[in-house]
Amino acid sequence: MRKWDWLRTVLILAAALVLTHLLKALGVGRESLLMVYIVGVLCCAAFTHGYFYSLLGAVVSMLMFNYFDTQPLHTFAISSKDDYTLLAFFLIAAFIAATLTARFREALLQSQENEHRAEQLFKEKEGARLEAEQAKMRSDLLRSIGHDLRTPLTGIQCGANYLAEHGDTLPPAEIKKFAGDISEEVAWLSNLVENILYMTRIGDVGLQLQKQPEVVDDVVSEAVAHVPALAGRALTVLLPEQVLAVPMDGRMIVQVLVNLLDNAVRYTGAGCPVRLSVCAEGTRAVFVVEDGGPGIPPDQCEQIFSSFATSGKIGPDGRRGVGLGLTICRAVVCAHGGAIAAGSSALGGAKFSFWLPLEEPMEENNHE
Amino acid sequence: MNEAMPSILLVEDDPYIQKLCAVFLKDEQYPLFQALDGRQALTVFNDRRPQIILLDLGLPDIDGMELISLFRRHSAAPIIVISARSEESEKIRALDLGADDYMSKPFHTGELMARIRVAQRRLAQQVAQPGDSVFACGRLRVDFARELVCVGGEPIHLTPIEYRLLRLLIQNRGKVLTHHYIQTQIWGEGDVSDAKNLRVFMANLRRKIETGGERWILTEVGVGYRFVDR
Repeated sequence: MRKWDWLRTVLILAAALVLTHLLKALGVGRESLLMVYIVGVLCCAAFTHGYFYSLLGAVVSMLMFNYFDTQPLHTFAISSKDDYTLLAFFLIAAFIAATLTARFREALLQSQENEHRAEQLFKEKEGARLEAEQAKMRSDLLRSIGHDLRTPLTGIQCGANYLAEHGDTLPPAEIKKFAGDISEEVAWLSNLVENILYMTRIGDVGLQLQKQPEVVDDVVSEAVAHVPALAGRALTVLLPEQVLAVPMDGRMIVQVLVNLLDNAVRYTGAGCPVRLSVCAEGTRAVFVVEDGGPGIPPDQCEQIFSSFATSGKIGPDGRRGVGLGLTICRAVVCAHGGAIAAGSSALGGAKFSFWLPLEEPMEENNHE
Repeated sequence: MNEAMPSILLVEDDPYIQKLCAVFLKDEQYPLFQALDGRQALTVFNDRRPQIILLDLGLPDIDGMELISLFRRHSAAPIIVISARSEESEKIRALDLGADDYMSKPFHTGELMARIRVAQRRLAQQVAQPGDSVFACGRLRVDFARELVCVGGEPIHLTPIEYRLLRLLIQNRGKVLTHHYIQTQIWGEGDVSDAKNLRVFMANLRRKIETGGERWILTEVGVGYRFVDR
């Protein structure tokens, strides 16, 4: 910025010089011409940094007036006492004006800088706070992952050890039961590992969702196929009448539905109905998973998505829910630009609904 | 009975999984060749010409993808890929290179056996080259000569593209077909329709033929489709 100050000063003074010559040609008096120079000096003070250029402008203006407008013309000599006085007061007035303007300008810059610094400080503080929050969340998450991993591992280890040591004396039915338990623990562990992997993928700063238009039918049937516990349940699936394609990362949304369906099965009794419905509402595709179980206390509807406390809880059938499941659901849905919420279902139990943006409206695709 | 069982090459670097799978496969009377790395796999492949290949992609010496191309250069044996990574892009690459099927770890032995039986049936089809012009299974009946599709005895109207999709799937039943492969087969290389169109056509086709609660077309989300082979 400062390197332009020279040019500005020269331009302003040149403009003043031209203007005075024009005014002189129109017959304007000398005192008025001095006013033009004063304005020139004020402009120098306003558009340059510090005192230097405005003071320089004042001196040069005075010399120009002296050279062009005082007798004898085109010399720096002065013949009249009036001119001496005029020039002396011009210089004084110009100096005072320049100094005041420059000071005012500096104060303005200073306050701007202060404001900027305060803003930066605030941002730094905010960043530190966010970082601390994230660090806490990460350590909570790790602790809960640790717990969720160790518990089924312990079950597997104990069962396998027992089989290895006593397998030869146990009746076949007993062996089968142990093996079945181990298999169940492993299935639970697999789903947990899947969830953790998704979590890390979402956690990556550069996460790029592999969005493709997926047909709702496909995603839903894939999800249902991945929850074997649904087999004995009264499951109702309601799909939109028109084939609906939604831009999404198919595997991730399948995982969301798997987690929600799994929860619906694990936290409700054997005879409870489960319903999965999908419909288009305006620019959104809305997915709803609900059940006829005991439901969620209203004060916990928000909390269950963020706290990891729910993981490892035992359902009425004695099995654990999928740890981290809901946290991942929310992260995935949010990454898609949608939202998820919990509430009460008309079926009497819990209701989880989430929506994804449709982006482009579905057109009829049967033409060929 | 042994004569009818196809020989299997199992390429897997984890000795424990290698051991377990060997127990199951031998129980089922499959003649089995085992390889713990890519080099061994190539040697066994060249000496024994296995009829079905189970291939773990994460081998210590040779990239699994490279092995698929090498196998494919000399043999049409069904290749079932086993992978511990779940990225769709990897599955798609393996399938486009010529693999017939893939399984993600962890898997059930029952699932593995089912996939092997599917491969076995594909093998039988390859040998017999059936000239059958009618496909019938459960409620679904497709008469290729008359281009007639019936579900539960009722004729179903399919659009020409839906019919071609169904024919392609049935011809390759049991095998996972990637979106890309289907697009090039139906619309041709130069006129690859957008991803959404294929999915919508497929969804409409499914809604038309899967009316009786039977499932024929399985979606491998993010990868492609597979026609059930029972």
